[in-house]
Amino acid sequence: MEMARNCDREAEDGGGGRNSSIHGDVLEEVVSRVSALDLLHVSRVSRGWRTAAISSLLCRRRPPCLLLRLQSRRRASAHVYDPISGAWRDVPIPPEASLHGLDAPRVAALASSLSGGPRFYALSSSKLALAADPLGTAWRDLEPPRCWRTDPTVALVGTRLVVAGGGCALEGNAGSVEMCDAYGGGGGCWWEPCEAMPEAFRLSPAISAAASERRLYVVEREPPFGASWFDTETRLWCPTRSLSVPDPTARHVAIGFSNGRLLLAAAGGSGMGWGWAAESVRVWMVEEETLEVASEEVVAEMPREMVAGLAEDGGGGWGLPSIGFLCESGFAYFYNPVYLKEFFLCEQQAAGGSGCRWERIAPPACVEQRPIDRVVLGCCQNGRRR
Amino acid sequence: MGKTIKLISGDGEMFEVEEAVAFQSNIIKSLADEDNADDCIPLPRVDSQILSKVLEFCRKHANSPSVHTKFAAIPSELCPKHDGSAAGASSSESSSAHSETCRACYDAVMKLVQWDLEFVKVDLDLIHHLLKAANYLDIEDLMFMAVEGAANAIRGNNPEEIRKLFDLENDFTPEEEKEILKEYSWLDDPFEP
Repeated sequence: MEMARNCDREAEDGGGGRNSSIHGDVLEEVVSRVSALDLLHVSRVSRGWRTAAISSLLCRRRPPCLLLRLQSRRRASAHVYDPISGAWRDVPIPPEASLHGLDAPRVAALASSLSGGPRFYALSSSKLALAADPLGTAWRDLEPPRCWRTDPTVALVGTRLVVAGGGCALEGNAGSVEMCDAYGGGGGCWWEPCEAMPEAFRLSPAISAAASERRLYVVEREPPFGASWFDTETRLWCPTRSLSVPDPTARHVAIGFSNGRLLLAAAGGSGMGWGWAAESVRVWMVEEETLEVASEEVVAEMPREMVAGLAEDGGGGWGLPSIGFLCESGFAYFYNPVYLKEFFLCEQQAAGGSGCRWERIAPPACVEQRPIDRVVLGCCQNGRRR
Repeated sequence: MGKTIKLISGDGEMFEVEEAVAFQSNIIKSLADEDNADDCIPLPRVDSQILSKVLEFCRKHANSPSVHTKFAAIPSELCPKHDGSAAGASSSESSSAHSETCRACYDAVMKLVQWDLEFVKVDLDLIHHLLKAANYLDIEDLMFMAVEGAANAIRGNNPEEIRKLFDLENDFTPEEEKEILKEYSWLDDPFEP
């Protein structure tokens, strides 16, 4: 670590102000240690600090932005939350990309391993489209999969698009899996049928999915938390196992990839049946090959007051029916998918640091103004490719 | 007690410490290497209060130098069981693999890191002095932790609070201030349409 020796000269003036110590290389070092969430404040302190903040931002990976689409029959809108600026911004969608209307395909989120790639897809009985950029301000039409599906699990595993489940049980397609190369040449995409989803997932009401470069991971969101992965090279599923969530009171889980690690978020609480109330949200690591949960190390734990906020449902009695969990590059967003009131951002500090940092984020005003509209969420570190 | 080094602080106090402790300062190490008959090194720019804090840090780190700059590669001296024969391509790879498998090493490092974090939970004045001393004496790990201490003071504070803590002036003009208060004026917004 090369340090400018300007400190020595300053020391001679008999301690004339503390700021003599913090400038130049030392200031840059200090600012580089500051969280991305504080950079905006750092940039507003003074000219010298603003320069340090800007150059620090250029050197570091940006925290992932939260992407929000509001879809209804009449209109669609897109919004982005950037943790650096701490604010939402509306992103205009060209009319042909809004995908609203009676015949419009249904926009939903997909799991993806591509950083900066699409986070949304749109599916109808006759149409499949993949967002051309993270927010979906443009779309790429693809050949729809052979089986008609509602609410399948969709993931971009490397450049392969995998569509699993959601098929019609009456036609025997409940767990069918198809795969195609979404970025292959020729504009079309040829769907390849693969080994069907394991029994446990076929009629599962809710599945959480995550994608690595090579595999699609699925976990049942509710007990017994069956988990499996699908390998896109071998086109096979691994034997299903129940995740042993370290919290025996856990009622809801979700998974995601962050910094190359598979993470498991679990909401635990107390009470039985309808009386169950969420009291804790914790994150652990999961071993990718064996699906063992690394129970010794709690990667993140949500502060109690935030868990109360997460489970807050305006008296509707829903509590926390499932856990929304979007993670990427050392950050994670948590939310209540059914009663969306707030987001909770978690920044994992480096090892040896002071633990995780949590912040509350209010959704953009339009979410409350349009309560009937469907909210589709994603998170993405890089924006539009320039 | 191995070979010792004598240090004289700026205000004339004498500190006698082991070589392993003192030599974490690259400056002291190079000064001692020169032909110095009486082994007494003057440090005019560091007064006794700060020097004793610095030596407290160095004493704690005597067996694990540069632990922060080499976190992935733990020196084998930390672990009595490690015989240096760990298989693996590069030394840092095998060391981090070693630390993964050797619980004792990992725990020792984590304990040291925790101690360091407590060490810099002091007021900003002391942090400033430690920064100066670490820079002047060229002690990598102390510099790393002093920087961490300063960064800690920034975390979670708004600009006005930061200015107060660090005794800084707001040198923006009112026009500039208006500009920077606009949310995206300086950001390379990744989602700018």
